Amino acid sequence: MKKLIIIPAYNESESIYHTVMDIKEKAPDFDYIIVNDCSKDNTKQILREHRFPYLDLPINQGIGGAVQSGYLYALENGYDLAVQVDGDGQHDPSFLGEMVKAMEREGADLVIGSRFLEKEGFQSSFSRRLGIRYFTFLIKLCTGKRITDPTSGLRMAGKEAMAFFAKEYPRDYPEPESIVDVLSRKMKVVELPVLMRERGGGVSSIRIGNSIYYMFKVSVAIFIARIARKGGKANV
Amino acid sequence: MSEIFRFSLGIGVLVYFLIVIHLLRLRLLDLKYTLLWLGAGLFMAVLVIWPEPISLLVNALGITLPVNGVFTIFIALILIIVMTLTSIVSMQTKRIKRLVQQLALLEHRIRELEERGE
Repeated sequence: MKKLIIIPAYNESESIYHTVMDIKEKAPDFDYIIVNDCSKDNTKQILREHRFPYLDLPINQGIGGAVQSGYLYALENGYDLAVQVDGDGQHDPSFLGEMVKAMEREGADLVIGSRFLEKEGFQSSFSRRLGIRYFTFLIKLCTGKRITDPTSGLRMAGKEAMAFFAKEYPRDYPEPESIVDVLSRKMKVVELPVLMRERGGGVSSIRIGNSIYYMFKVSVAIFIARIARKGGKANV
Repeated sequence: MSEIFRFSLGIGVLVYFLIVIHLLRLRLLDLKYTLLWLGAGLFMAVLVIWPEPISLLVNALGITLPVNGVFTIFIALILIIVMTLTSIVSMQTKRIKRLVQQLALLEHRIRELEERGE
């Protein structure tokens, strides 16, 4: 089975090397590809020096556009599954094996690594947890399914979800919205408890200044995803 | 609608058409996106030449001053045009994204092939 790790990287020069080394050590049976989303620091030089496999986006496409490039790559190269692992070292690759097993056992299309199923490891700040709770509530309201960690960036997609993401993936703050997309296409989503670490370097894309925008945008996006015409005219 | 207002409106519509056609001749506008502008201009022209039916319609909508009706119609036309532009921009953003991604995939392949050749 061909398995790919997609590592979106935007200004991750401090942590990208360790993230990759961690993956090589703990998930050696996975291929990996880094997507450099037009980083302004020397991320690209680091990738080149170490001869890491990477995609280099000439124009910044946001986290969603970067991850989607990874799914495109996975699709074109015949991978059976693809998993996103953040470039900042938050995600522990030793959980990937379990995620694959969960995917096979449950016949899932999307496996999400959740911090909150067993409430262990780094739990994020109070206000963020509150925001995440709110998304959990909203997704439950729209789809009837309870997702404890809808903002988790540690997600594994099977073939069908992969093909869908390659076609349709939101640009900013894609996680909660794409879960609703997947659920409303009758694909199966399961969560698996994982431990997350505090980021090794870089900054979160979500800061106080834009958190209100974030909440608003994602709320609207979730509703739109629910009522969107399947297939739609969006096939550009 | 007073005659003077109709007259000045007529001049305005004429200038509008001249500008649109001029831009089309210079190939600065894509006809596909300009059809909407031409349509709006035609509508305005009809309004100037033959205002009675529109006056009736405006009255029926509860607008007493015809001139307000004209403004309302113009604002509606502008809204439609702006909305269309937003949808065009959204579509183009998506297309550019796909181009950028394909470019990155190709660049990766070239790099791979080059390294293999070394």
